[in-house]
Amino acid sequence: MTQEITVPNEELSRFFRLSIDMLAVAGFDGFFKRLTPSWERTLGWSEAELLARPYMEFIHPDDREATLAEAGKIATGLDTIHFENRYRCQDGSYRWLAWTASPSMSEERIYAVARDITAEKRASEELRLANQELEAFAYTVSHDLRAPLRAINGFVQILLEEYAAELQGEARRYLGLVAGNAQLMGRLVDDLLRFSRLNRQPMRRQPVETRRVVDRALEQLRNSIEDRPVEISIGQLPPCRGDANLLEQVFVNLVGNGIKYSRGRTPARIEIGSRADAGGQTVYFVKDNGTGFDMNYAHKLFGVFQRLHRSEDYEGTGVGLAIVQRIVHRHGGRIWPEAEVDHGATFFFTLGGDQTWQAKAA
Amino acid sequence: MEDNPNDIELTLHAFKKNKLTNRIHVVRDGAEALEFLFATGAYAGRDSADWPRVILLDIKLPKVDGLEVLRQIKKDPRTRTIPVVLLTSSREERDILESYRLGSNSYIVKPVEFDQFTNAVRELGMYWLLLNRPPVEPAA
Repeated sequence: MTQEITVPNEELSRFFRLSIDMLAVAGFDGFFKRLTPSWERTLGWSEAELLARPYMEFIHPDDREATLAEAGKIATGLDTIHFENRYRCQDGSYRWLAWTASPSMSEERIYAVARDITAEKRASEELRLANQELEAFAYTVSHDLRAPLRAINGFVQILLEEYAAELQGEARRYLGLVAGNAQLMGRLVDDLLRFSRLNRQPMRRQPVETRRVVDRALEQLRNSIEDRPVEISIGQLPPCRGDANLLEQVFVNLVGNGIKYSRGRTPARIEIGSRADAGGQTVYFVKDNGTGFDMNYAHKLFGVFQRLHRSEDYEGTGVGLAIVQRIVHRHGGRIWPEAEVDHGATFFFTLGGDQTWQAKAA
Repeated sequence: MEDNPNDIELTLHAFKKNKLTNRIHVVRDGAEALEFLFATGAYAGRDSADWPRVILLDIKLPKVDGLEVLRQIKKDPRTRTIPVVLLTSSREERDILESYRLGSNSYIVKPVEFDQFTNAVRELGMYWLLLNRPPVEPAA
């Protein structure tokens, strides 16, 4: 066995030289014993330089403690499945390496493979910062837009209430339009704020009694239900794993939409239930007998401020479904509609993740 | 304590409309707010024992922000008992929690709808100026 490593056969040796990943044999003594040429290509040090000093000296000071702990674990016979640290290059810069490693106890050696993940690290950090900036931007915009709206509304109301006698009919009507639009913009801004807040809110995933969540959602919607006959039937709702508050928002928005778009049906019918798909995964659905929509426009449904109906017919700002989709995606699930003009709409969603236990619980 | 001139005018208007004619003093940033309150700087001549009955405080103020002003008010035994109502556009939960943690007496999100704004101002004015009885003297 040892023989095979110290004098590798020609084939292994060729692969060793060609490897893009950085292969290493290190001793329990803290020194590298053998390295692929990819080390020199990545870090700029010659093999001799890397072998001459304890490898710890090449590791970023902040990562040394973790690396020491990981090496200690390996020395007790455990494998490393994934570990990340930074190595210093010859030019003084650092590169992120991701490691897998396995010990040979008899040889007191560690066999390890490192991959340069600096580019991925940088890209994901840039993405994180860009997202953060975008959220801060959305928040600031929506926050600061409220102030001028308050002023527009406030002064228009003062004109309407206290200067009504001096205003002619048309002038009053125009002021009414100004007020109405300022109020609409206020709602848009609030919804945008809610949407941007959703991304910053941490998600607490835990076992959830889906039925309880639906009941709470219906409680919230009671006001919009009471003024006309709405029949709501609730089928089997297996428990799930998710964030109960966010899921409540999903049902509030979906059922709220169902109620809104079944206006004019007597009675309006909403069905909330679930079924198992071919893979055994639970698919929840909310179905209404309302006005439906043309499936050709279904791809537009989930965009922020996208609407398929005229605001004169159905009020709303077009954020509800965008919020629903965001929550479902954050759970690792999927959402899709089925609808037909004048024949109602159904929204299906899954919650992703490991939901297999719920089949037993159901 | 408010920097937005429109909000100042609308708030004063709402007070007047509700016949709350108490003396109202407006300061435009956090530093001025603290100087006024503690009778320092530009307000060095003010009778510092003449404490406000209630403070309306915008959370976003230039120079010293509203939460810092609140912190100072609640830190000083002389001003700790003055009711502070935070008036702000922010619905951010962390702002709300932070403000309660610092001991504000209530928190009102400035509504975009003017009627709500007038109502909010009326209610808080009624409550803090007419109904709520301040301690006879600030706890020393």
